[in-house]
Amino acid sequence: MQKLTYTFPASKSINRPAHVGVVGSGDLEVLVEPSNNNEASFEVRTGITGFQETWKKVIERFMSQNDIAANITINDFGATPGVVSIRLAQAVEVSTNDATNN
Amino acid sequence: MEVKVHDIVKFQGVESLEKSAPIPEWLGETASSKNFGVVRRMAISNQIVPIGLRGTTRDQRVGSFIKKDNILDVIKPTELVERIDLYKEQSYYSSLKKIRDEFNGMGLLWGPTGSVGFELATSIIVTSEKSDIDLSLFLNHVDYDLLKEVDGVLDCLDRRIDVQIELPEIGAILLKDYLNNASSGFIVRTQYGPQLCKVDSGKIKPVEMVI
Repeated sequence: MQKLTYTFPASKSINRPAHVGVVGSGDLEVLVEPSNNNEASFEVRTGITGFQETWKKVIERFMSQNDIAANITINDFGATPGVVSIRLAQAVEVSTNDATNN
Repeated sequence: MEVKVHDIVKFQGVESLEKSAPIPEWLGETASSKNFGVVRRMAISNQIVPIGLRGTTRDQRVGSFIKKDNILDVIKPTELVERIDLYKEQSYYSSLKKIRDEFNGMGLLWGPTGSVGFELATSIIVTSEKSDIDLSLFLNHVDYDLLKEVDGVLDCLDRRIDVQIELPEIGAILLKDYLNNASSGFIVRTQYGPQLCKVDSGKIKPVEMVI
């Protein structure tokens, strides 16, 4: 099990926590909690070592588009970068949604 | 010879692989990678099949390609069901046996994939006691009630079982993802990459999103 952490300055606040994705081969869970720190702090837990650079790129790309102040925990089960990006976008959609029905 | 994602292909040796892909040093020295590959989820064009090769550790994985003409044999996950009893000593045996009995009773078309499938196909031991058990379930369309029943069977086992539902012309969906998120969004893995989808009016429809 490898733990990777990344922190970025962030300005946009989010409305609510989110939990998307699933525990299962080739997928991941993303947990998002609002933060008051003007920071986005990521913790990635993965069983597959040796992909620090790929994680960094995927997360940097995500932050360049989203800029959310949040604590984001990722439990990875060997997801591809494409799946990671979809799950992160899905989590943001849930946590920035104003509707009360989800 | 038709090859599909998850099929295990046998080939003569490293020289049978396309030279365009990287050939790491371990590849030719490891039993599990020098003669066998697993078909990846990608389009097959010009008779060139995308395969994945596995070494001994989890970071020893590499994507490669092979011409159809260089494939000696194709072993499909569904063919592996009848080999389960040859692996009675393995820690996954009791789970697989129960799944076989239940799934066969339900008339399902399925097969082991991942490390367990690789082991059954090649007789090369690549699993450990901690290995996940991955299965593919081949359906013509998604049927929520049937899948709920499948999930109920798997929940009674003491090992975690990851099930991918393979749908013709669409791709694959993780069983848990579909059951938990049918209306909020689940990922369909297509040969052109992953796509977030929802069930809308009984049909799987893509969700537009900016990523």
